[in-house]
Amino acid sequence: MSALLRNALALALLTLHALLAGCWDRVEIEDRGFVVGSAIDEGENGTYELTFQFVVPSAMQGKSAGGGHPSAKTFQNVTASGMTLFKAARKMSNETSRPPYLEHNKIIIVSETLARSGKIQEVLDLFVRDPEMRRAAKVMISSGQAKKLLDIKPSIETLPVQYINATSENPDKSESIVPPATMGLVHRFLLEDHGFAIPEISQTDDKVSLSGAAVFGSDKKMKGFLDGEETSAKNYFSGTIKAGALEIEMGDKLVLFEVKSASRKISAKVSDSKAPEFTVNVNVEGNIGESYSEIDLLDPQVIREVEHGVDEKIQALMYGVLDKLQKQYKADAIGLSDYLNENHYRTWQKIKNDWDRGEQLFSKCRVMVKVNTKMRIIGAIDRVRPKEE
Amino acid sequence: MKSFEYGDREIGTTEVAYGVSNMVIGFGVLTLPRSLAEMTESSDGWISLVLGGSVALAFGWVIASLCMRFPKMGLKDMTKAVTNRATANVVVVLFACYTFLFVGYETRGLANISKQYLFDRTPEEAICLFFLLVLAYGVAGPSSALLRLNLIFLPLVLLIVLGVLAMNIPFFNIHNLKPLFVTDWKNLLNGARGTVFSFLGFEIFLFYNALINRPKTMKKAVLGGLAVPLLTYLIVFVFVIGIFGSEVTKNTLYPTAELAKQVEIPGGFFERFESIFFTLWVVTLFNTAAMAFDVTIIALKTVFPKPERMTWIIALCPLIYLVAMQPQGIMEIDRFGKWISYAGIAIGWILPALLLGAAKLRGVEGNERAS
Amino acid sequence: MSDNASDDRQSSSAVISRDMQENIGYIRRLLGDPSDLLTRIVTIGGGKRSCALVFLSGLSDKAVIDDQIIRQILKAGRYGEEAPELDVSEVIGGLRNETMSVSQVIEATLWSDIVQAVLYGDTVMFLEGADDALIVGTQNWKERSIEEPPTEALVRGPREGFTEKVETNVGLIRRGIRDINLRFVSYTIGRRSRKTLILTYIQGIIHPSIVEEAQRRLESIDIDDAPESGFVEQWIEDSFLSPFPQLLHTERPDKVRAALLQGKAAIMLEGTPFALILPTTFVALIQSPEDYYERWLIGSLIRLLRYVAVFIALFFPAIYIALVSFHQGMIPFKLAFSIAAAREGVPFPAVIEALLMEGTLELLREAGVRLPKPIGQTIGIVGGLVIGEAAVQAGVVSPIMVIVVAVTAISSFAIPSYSAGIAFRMLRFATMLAAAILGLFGIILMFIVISIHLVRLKSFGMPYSSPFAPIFLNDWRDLVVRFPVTFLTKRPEFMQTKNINRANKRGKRI
Repeated sequence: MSALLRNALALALLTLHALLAGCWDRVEIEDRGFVVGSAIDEGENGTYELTFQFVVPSAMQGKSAGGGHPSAKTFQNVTASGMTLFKAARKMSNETSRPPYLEHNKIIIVSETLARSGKIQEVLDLFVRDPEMRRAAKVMISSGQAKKLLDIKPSIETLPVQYINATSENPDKSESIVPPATMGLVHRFLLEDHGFAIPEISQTDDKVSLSGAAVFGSDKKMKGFLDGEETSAKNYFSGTIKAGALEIEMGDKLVLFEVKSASRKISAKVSDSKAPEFTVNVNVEGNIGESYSEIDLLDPQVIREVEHGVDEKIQALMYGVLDKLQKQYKADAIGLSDYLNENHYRTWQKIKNDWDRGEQLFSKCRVMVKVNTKMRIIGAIDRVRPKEE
Repeated sequence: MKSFEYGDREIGTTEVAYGVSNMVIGFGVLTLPRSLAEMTESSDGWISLVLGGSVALAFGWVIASLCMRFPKMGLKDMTKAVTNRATANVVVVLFACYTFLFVGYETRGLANISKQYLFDRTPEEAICLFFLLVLAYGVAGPSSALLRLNLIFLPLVLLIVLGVLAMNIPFFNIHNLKPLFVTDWKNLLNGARGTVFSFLGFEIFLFYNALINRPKTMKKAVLGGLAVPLLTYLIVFVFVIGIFGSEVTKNTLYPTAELAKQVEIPGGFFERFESIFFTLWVVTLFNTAAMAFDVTIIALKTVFPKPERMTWIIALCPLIYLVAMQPQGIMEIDRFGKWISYAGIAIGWILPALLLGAAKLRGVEGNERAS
Repeated sequence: MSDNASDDRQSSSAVISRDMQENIGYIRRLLGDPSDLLTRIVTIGGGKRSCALVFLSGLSDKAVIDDQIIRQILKAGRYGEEAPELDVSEVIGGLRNETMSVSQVIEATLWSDIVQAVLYGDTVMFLEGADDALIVGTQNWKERSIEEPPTEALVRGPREGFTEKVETNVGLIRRGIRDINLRFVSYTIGRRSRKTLILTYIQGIIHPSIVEEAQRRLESIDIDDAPESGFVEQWIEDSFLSPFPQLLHTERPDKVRAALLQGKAAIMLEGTPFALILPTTFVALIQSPEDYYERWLIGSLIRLLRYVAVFIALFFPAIYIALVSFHQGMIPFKLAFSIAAAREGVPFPAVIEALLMEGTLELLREAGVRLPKPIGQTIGIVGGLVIGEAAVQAGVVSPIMVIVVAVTAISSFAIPSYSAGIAFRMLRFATMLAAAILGLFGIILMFIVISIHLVRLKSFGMPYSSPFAPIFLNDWRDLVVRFPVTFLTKRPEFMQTKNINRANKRGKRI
């Protein structure tokens, strides 16, 4: 037969084959079990207990034709356990009508117990390895059991995970929240050779709190938590403060200093024989947020006093957390080792095995903190309280 | 000079430059950061890259010189002029084998990565099959059309790569690049050796030389065309290290893809950006494979002129499919790639260099007459 | 002279006889004695000589025949009284030169010419005893008035469109280009239709090979009839397998004139207002004259919008299928949940849903074309939406699908060239199928296939994808963005015109 006919026939056969053989990856969107958050706890006998928060899409819709009514449960938490997380996830397919689909997973909560036992690397392997996962998922350590946190009913958002997610993105309003640790970042921490800090998530009544941080050493085991104030101090060390509020005592009344920005500069004196000496310079800028005192804030002398007060307060906080990290936790979560790696590479290579192990050089090194505060604006008024004669 | 006057028979300088760029840009974009980070410390991979790139540029100069010396002649005629007919045939057949295997490798590599990032259950056989069909369609027409395709696709690919990098700027931390200059020479050279493989591909222009209408600009075109991948690789490498740090890069199979994964488009319009990245990158891989396929056919036709072009295409397709499906897993694909790279350097770079040397020694030159 | 009326006769070299009645009888028999063939016998010179006027009533202008021919003959003095003394050829000469006040009078002897003239609407005058006959130009076909073409209306621009009469069309073009280099070459197309086809171009601008190629192809046409320029287009185009048109068709004279000035050629066919412009590129399908009549910023933005519309018209449903069925991770999660919720009750997979809706829309569109104007327009889109709404309520399709389909339909209407719009419609279905099989990968493969096709396609030797590939950087001034008029000083480079400058940036020297 003619060339044209032959070609047309070949083409038709091929197309037919393609259509008949099927589209292998076609899974309709309503058949997917969207997982938005995961929590991992320790199970019995060395197993992991994995909890996924599935979304119930029809309940998410307030108003469409055929949608559920607003009080219907918008999510479903399913738990399964297994020796590996992968197996546990597979087991869930026994219970749910839709197999888990992790492309929208936003939050990964690891329980404290697992973190302390150094299992965090194992726990996170699945999440980083599977290409379905996104690197921007946020990792948090829970004080207490992880999966309970997925049950908290939010008042504004539709899903608990949304609530958690939104709150964790408030570092620009709260100083005691550590910047979110995305999975990519945690992957990096795990591969590199120093300590780090991950946001802590805890529950009070039926609300979630993201203040605080979990500190890890370079052995990847969690050493402990830092409370709100300590976390803020750590943020000053890391240069990740976006906002802060400090109450200073002037006379016997309080003045509140609002931190607008803070930056830090580290410098180190390195010698071959002893532990390095660090100087951390922190520059803070801010305003007066609230004043209960009658001091005259337009007086330069007063301003200097307030600035000095802030300097001291921040310094105290930073020394406090430094102490805790050096003596109690023995973990460098403030980035000193990073600094050494970048700027004193040879020395770091020599001492890195003794940093927070062996010789415990981190605990031995001296760190001097200097804070310099500048006040920019005092607000719309000078004071509320008239000067006492 | 342009459309009517050359129609389908000739290509100009622009087509050569774009063709060289597009041919070279391939898997390198995805895997180079990792192989560099494995060999070197911190961000020093860029030095290896520049070294390797220089080697490639040097060979590019060799090939361009060869082409300029024998204008409008393909590799067979060039070799015939310097040596004899039998050697020429052998050389061309060897070259054809190299490009043939290259097509198979590209197809399989593409299917493998697509399977990982774009699909889940679709079998690699099917991906290869469809890709091969489109390849066959592309090759069925005149070569100049394929080269013209580069003009459209290269800007697209560059756009998407640079776009991914630009959108990752908020994550870029210049401290990740420090410390500088900490690797020793041995490792730098090792790294350079690895990068050289990522510059393979442009040697196919030894065959397209028969179509070029302005041979005097070859040098500029080839070197310019090679500069683009070099720059691109450099920028990609610096960004990957700057964003991920060298430890993570060492550990990630396809760091550039991971970069694409974490892009967040403002406004939250699209979430999984790497799918877009991949789809556009498939385009450049297609071009590479299509040009390699095209050259295989051209080469084989110079040695066995009797069968028609279509016959060659139909005959080669199943063979390419078999070759593509042969490696069993990613380790074997990698190994396959390494062997092809060695072959490529030997046949595509060293051989022409020898040829050039021999031509210079014997004072052989081609003339304007097309053979 | 035999009596059989084979079509050999039409092209034979048979001549008329001297006997007037024989001639009349002959032409009557030839045409099968039709009722619209009228004969008027006029005697001149006091009844000594007679001449016969033969014409077809529907095609000729009765007024002219009555006033300008018959009256003039009757009034004619010399040839009247003195007629018997004058030589027959002098009478004919006189009649032609001095008597009839008609603009076209030719002498003819061949039957083929005479019959063709009568069929055209001219009047033939047979004079008793003469060797020649006179063909008087009395053709007057009823013609439509000049109106704006319905399919190519503009907001701003001349409201003139071609009509079915090729002379009028030629006139419209001449009005806009009063250059001495404007050429019109005529051909006769169709063995039985014998229509006039005119090839027009501007000598000195157009590249000569285009003209040669066009002429070569036109001369190869051998069919009974070319009812519309589409036939001519299909005969002379480069690739009949391609979905893309290789000649642009238009009803607007201003578009044709602009094309001529760019170095292109145009073809006009008797009987259709649609002129063909050759060669064409992909880019020309997306351009509209309005881009030039409005100011450059507006023109550029609207053209950009059209490029976006092309992309949407081609890929949007396919992207929807790919995202919803394969790559759900790409959809922002809130939207993903709404889509999932909306699709809960839908029985079909996204592919079938999309094909159903698109298919229905195509049917509606086709139906809308045949309905009378006021109803036809509304049925098209609104009907689709109403049906879509009902389908959503019934749970057969999801609301997102309706939106996708509607947006796609609207985008495809934004494409100025109707045949390009059809091309994209076809390709859209192919892309949807590709997306159904391989998701985004399928879409990109289709994109590659379409690109390969476009790059290979040629229109009269010109690569279809110019000036994208091969790259003509200077032409990018008028590609996606339209530079201000003062910058468009050169003709398009890819046309390789002989005369490059068309504007002087600095303006006239005062």
